[in-house]
Amino acid sequence: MKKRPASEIVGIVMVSFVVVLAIVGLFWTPYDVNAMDYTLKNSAPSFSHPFGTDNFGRDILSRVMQGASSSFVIATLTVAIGAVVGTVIGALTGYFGGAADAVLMRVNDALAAFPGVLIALVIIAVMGNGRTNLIIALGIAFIPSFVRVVRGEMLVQKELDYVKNLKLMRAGSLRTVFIDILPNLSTVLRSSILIGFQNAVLSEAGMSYLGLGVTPPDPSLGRMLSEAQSYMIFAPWYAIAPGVMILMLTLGLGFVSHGREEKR
Amino acid sequence: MALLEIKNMNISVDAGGMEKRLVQDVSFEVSEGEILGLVGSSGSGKSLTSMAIARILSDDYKVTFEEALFMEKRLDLMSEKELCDIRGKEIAYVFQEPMTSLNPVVTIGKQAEEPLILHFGKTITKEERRKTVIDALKDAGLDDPEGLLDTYPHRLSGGQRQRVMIAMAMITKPKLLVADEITTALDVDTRNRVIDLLKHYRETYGVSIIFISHDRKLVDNLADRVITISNGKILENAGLSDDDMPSPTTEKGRTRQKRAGGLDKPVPEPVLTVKDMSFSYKDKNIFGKTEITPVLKNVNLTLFKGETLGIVGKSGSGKSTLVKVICGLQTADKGEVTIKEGYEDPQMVFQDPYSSLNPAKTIGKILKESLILGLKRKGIKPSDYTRTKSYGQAVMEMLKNVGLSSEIAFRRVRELSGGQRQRIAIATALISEPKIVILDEPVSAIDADLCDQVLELLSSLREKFGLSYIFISHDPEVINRTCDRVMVIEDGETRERKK
Amino acid sequence: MRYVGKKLIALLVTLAAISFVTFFAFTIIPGDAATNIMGMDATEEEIEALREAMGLNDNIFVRYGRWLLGVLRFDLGTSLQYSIGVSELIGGRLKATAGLAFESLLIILVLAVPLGLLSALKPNGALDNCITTLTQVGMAVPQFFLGIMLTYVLGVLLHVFRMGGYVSPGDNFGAYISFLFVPAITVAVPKLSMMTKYLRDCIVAEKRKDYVRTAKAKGNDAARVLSHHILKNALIPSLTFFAMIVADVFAGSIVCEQVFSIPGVGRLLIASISNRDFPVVSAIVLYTAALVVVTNTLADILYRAVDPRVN
Repeated sequence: MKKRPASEIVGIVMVSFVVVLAIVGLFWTPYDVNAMDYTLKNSAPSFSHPFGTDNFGRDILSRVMQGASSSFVIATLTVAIGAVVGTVIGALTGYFGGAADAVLMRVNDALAAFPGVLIALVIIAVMGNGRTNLIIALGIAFIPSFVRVVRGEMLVQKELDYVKNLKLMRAGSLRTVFIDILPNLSTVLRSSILIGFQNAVLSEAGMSYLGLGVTPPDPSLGRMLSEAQSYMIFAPWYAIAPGVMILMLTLGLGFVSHGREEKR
Repeated sequence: MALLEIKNMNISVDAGGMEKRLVQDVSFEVSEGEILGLVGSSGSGKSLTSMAIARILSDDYKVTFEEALFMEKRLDLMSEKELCDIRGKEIAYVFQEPMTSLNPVVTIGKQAEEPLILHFGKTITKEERRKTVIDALKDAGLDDPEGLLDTYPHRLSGGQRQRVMIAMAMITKPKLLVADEITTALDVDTRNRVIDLLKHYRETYGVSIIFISHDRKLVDNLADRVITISNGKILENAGLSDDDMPSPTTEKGRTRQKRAGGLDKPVPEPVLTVKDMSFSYKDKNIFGKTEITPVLKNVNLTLFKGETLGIVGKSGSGKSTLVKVICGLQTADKGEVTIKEGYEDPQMVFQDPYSSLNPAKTIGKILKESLILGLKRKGIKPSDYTRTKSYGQAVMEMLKNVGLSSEIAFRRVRELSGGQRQRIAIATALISEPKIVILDEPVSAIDADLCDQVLELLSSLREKFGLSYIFISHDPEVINRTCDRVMVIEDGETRERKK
Repeated sequence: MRYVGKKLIALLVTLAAISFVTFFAFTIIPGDAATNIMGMDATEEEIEALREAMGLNDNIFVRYGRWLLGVLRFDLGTSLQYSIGVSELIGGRLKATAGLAFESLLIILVLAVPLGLLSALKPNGALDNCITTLTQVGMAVPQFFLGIMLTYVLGVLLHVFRMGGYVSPGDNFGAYISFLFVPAITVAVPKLSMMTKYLRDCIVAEKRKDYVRTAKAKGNDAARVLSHHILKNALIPSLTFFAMIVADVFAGSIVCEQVFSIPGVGRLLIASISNRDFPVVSAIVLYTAALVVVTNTLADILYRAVDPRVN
């Protein structure tokens, strides 16, 4: 066991901080997230409102906490869809090859060349916005990259002698793919999932910023930033809290995955 | 007068804060025009030693000398710039891996002339340079040197690339040539020609050579003097005089050969026959035309009960394909494979045990899976089997049979040594109780001393379980030692070879 | 040559597939163009009449054919929201987006190679760790947050940047270029970080290869090994990576145009999605897709030309 690099520890701390806030936010927030108090409109950070209040006088800390949990849930579901569907498609096409593989890969390569946000935008345009549609849209947008990674690794693994040996022992193909080969992809998959999660958080925030994600009044970090932008001059703290929250989560994830890469 | 004199060389690396010694107090010298042999098994430190001479090891390695004299100058005190002037001009290197040692995106001509540019700069003209390169390539025995100039390395064979490497090293007429395992990746014919080439350079230019190899016999054949390195230390420093003693390896080999071919001749009973088999690869090109590359042409062979049939051939001769067809991993175009009843489903032991064992699973799991799949093939109900013994017992028994302790069942492939891995690979093939086992280069990837042990194990298992082997190898020596009969495969055609 | 032909055929097939998918996706949306135009108050008969007039009742392949012919002549129908031709609408917005994308790509190209090289000089040295950490931050920061912070620092605090000060290149070319610089940095930072890291990893990986040892043994000093041997090997795979960056830069500019209120194609796309102005959305999607596919094909062909191994 090699020593964890310092940056990985910093990463774990950052992610844990956001995760704890998000989990607490699911059950308890200092104030009701939608409680408006016009006497406190755009007030600066203070003892009772550590991150200040927004243009409706809502407590920013409470909204950031719930926004973080919403980001977290969306990103998790998104990556789950991408990883599961992508792995199944990638594993099967990579192992079996043939015409279906050739056609699917053409499509996949074309899709993988597109930035995920663009694919998600198109799907949202067709299906309309909202939380569920955002999850589906981003999930679909994440499939191609997983297909690519898993298929590539599958092509390597299937040429190894242990797989030939399994054929020789007449092991069933599905058994070979999912029970024997797949565990060998765990390292690759784990790092893809980490990077995917980082991308998912960024994409969700971006979509919500554009007004195509979580619908108001539900708090969302991206949306808060877009509202904060209008009050930049009077209330710069409004932008800091949600922005730093996203950055801590994504940067933390980046540090963790970088640390894993280095260790290998 | 010694050309090179190394006194107490030490090489170490920083292993997580601890200094790990890789080479310890190594001293040797090379006279002018001498060929010094440096022998040692892989990991003994011989390559590190050779690279430390002109200090081309990466910064991760810490190298110290008491003194390193070359042409009466202190190599150990030189600046990086002074060393650059010596590297490639006075001391030249050729390395083991001809396939990767050339820059893939630069033409042969450009690479070969680089030492001239670096060390002679503007003192020679472009035309002179071109002529020197062509002469050097020709000198190294390469055909059509002019044509090679604009060619990229990937178009050349391994042997050709190694000649290019040698030509490139010799182009500045260095005083010392360091040849690090330069023949290991080559086949036997090319190997001999490269050795002749080195002799030619010594005779013509009086270059001193440090010839490094793990192959004792090869070194003895070429070198004036041999030193052996083991675990980073020098073991002996002797001339060729003690070579009259036959080495233990060959001795052991001979006795086994006698045993195999001698006393108990089995009544020939064919268990596997291949009749008039042909196989070719078909590739559709983009215009839908099919390009056919024949690999096997009307191959015939018979394996008798209890024997070891050797199949020998160069790489690319079609022997791997033959195996795949026999095992049913690939379907032949024509001809048939007949296997006697009760001898179905031959199992295999592959060349590289690391790749033939699933790295994600423990050894116990791998063996158990192999056993269960074997029962399924034979249509035996698992409950019927476990009535006599449990899976765990079967796995332990098998481990014992291949000479391993039972605690290995809980380990994974990466935690095992090369020899242990190959034993596990054998166990995996045998646990499902096949009657025919195909050994595909089973000892090519492991060290020489382990090789004997594995061969020994294979022959004892053959007797114990009444197996028949098909033994595939590119190495005629191994084949001669282990096989009862030998087939030679060449360009997809086979013929029987009398011993 | 044969390869180029093959690639071009594949390109055409892909383009055809994309056009069909785009058309199909925007045709199955509930509430067709006729309903959208007439509004909620129209009677069923009125809508049906318009449908007939617009040819919406024809077979889907007939409509696809008609639409495709239009696409090829840059005639993509009329925007529902602005009531002008879609091509005209997009054409007017293209200048801003093109300038933004071009400036960001320039920033990436100019900075990525030296940064990657510096970082790879001494792997895990102080400089490398510093650059690597910066690239980590660059990849993690949400673009719009970076944009907002830049406007706050440069605009509100330092007064060197005027928010929403986009100038059309026809009016004042200098102002157009200089205004777009800050948004271009915003778009470039994440991709610059990715490119730098990619190059650095490539160079570090190449450094361990056997040919580097050969080059060293020939008497090349460290700098020459890098410039004459490693760099070309590392730049070849980076080519494909750069092609991906081009597509990413366009995606990045969608968000960035929103942050800096730049009247570009990206902003038009977002507005059209919100207003369900589908002729505009489908046109932008189609042209973007074409851009991505063409860029990738070019990169593949170029790759083939510079890498002797795949010939």
